[in-house]
Amino acid sequence: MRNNLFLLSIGIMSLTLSLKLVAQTDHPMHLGIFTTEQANRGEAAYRSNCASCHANDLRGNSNSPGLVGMSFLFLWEQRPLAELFNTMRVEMPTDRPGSLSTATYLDLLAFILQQNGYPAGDNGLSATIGDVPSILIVAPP
Amino acid sequence: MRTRLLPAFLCLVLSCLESIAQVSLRDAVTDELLQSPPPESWLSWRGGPDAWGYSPLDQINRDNVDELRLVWSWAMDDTGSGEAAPLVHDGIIFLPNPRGVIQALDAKTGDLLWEYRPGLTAVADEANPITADELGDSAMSATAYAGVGRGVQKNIALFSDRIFAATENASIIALDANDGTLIWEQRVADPALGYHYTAGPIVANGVLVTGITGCTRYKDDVCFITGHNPDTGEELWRTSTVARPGEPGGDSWGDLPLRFRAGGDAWVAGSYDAETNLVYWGTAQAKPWARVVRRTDGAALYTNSTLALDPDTGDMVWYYQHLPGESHDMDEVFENVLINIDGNRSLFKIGKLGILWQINRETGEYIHATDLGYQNIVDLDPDTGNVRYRDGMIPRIGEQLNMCPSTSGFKSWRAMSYAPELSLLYIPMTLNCELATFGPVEQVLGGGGEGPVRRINIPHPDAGDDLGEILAVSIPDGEVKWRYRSRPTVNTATLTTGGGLVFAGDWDRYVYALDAATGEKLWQTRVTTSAQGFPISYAVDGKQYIAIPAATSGASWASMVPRDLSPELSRPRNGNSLHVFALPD
Ligand code: HEC
Repeated sequence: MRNNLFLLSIGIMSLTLSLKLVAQTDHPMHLGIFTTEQANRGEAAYRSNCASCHANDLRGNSNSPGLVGMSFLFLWEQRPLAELFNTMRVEMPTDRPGSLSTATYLDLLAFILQQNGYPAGDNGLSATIGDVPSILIVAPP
Repeated sequence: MRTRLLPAFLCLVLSCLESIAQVSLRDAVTDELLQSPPPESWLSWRGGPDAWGYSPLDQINRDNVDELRLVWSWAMDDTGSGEAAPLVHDGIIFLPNPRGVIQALDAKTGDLLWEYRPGLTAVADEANPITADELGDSAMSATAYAGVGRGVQKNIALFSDRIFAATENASIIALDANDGTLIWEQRVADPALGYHYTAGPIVANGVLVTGITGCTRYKDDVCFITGHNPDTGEELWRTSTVARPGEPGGDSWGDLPLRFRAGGDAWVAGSYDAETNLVYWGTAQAKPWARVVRRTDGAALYTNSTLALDPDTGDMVWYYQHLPGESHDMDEVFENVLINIDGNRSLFKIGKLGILWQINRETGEYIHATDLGYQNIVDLDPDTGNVRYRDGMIPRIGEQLNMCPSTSGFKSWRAMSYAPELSLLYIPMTLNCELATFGPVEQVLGGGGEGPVRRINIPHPDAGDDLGEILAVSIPDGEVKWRYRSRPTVNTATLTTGGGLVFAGDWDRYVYALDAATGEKLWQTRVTTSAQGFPISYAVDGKQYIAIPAATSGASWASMVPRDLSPELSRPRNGNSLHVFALPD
């Protein structure tokens, strides 16, 4: 039984790996859809508004899910980036949802993407991202 | 003008005298007092050491409860989830707030007597409080909101002339019950590793016993329960809730090294029986939740167990593992209700699955269990207490399961209570299910955690539109005497009284009294926000009071489940508070 579990998890890992390999390098998330400045501002906003639940290193705690790595990808891969942004904007932080400025939510998204290993680019994320259902989240390059 | 100034002047002259007189405890709290609490008091988080959640007071009863009215209320800190379990002694309420704040209030008038605010309150010489420097990156900013987990403060303990609490920084503190001064702070574990407390200590045979939580992520240590000297804070013993490699039970985690043995959080305070001289404490599930994700299908001792510990040494005298190799986030960590039945010194417990257990609390032997009939995950053998996972119900990565309950559970920290006159337990429940898809975690130091779950909340097929239930179950036979159902989730612990009443409250701000014998609603009113926490009863100068906390946040049962399954209901997003009711004079 244990062997089966291992095989299964190896299977999952190689699946993730192969997705990585086939991920098109011209996917917007691989070309850089946020700026380093946004991510830096996002880090500060994250520390004061999100870290108490999702932990300083974004790995989550208690009922608050992790926002990085394999766990995050499991929840978000192939779902629209717009949905991630709108979830954050409408529901987070849970004690005062929607209380931050749109610019701050964009910074936070930039920070989360950066922490997941997506590259920064020259063009910043803009609020229209919430209206673009076509960009599906893929594994980082 | 003059007549107004005169009392003000007198007040100035007298005030300090008066406040000292008010705050001074008449009787230090001894072990004997904790064992047989006077009816007018509420000395332990569930009233007495046996965790009945029962007050013998009967001034408020079936005949007059409809006259109950608000006497005073108090706004609590809105810095996080309120799950307060207040204590009462000598006419003073000691009230735990989020983020470590504790207040003492005049239980009759609601006047503030003192407040402890970490980092601001006076500290005694030698108190050695934790500094911000020491916490470094693991410091939680003063404005950070404690929605769930770190920063939540459920219960505190009262012993001698001191209040004891366990902190978000994984330390234990002692306050002077007369003025709130910090007397000592004892570091127990490193908060940078995730360790923190949400449950406070209990006092057993003069020892402070406390269970840590935040043991979710992979680290080179495990979860534990400690015993401390109440005079100094000195750690007397530490008992792991996870069996280490090479120790007895260690092979129940397969060959996982210590660092990948996570969970067993002890996040709900235990009970104490002076006659067996044993402390009973629950442990949570193993982490990550699903077997396939944590990479062992072993029993994972001592997770999801009831532990019986010697309070003097920490020795584990027995353990009873309710769900070996648990795989769906089905905690069995909750309150341990100690009841003697038919000569059996029993311990009653119910976990998220809604299985009510009766264990012999001297030996740890299984006596009886009742599946309340809502879950679809395991089959229980009532003769042996063994559970077997139903076909297809063990999670596999990426495969959706239709499971009841959801990972919120049918039961949570909202404790049940017991009415000795009727031999009934009153269990606050939330009925709901989930389409759950479990996902993987990185098996690296600092990684792990509960594991991701794609979660879709769905109603329970047997519950119609109702999410809330209080179930009156007779013991030991486990027969359901009545069900109180409500559209909103029931959101407090229950409180039973000698007046034949059960008090509770729901997410939709209603607090109410039910007839303990029939479930009929005899009184209700509405409070600031969701009723949430542990209702209590006490008396001052011969008058009985009922105190019911209201609060926001409080994990998925009070946030995601109502949001998704009762979207037409709403409540204010703040309003943590305490509401105190009595009969008219
Ligand atoms: C009080 C605790 C708390 C705070 C503060 C908080 N979150 Fe959350 N967050 C949660 C919980 C709990 C969930 C799980 C979903 C739910 O309850 O709606 C969640 C879910 C999420 C999700 C969706 C995760 C998933 O994979 O489904 C994202 C993204 C997120 N939070 C981002 C943030 C950001 C960004 C902030 C800061 C602005 C923040 N959160 C602040 C508790 C919190």
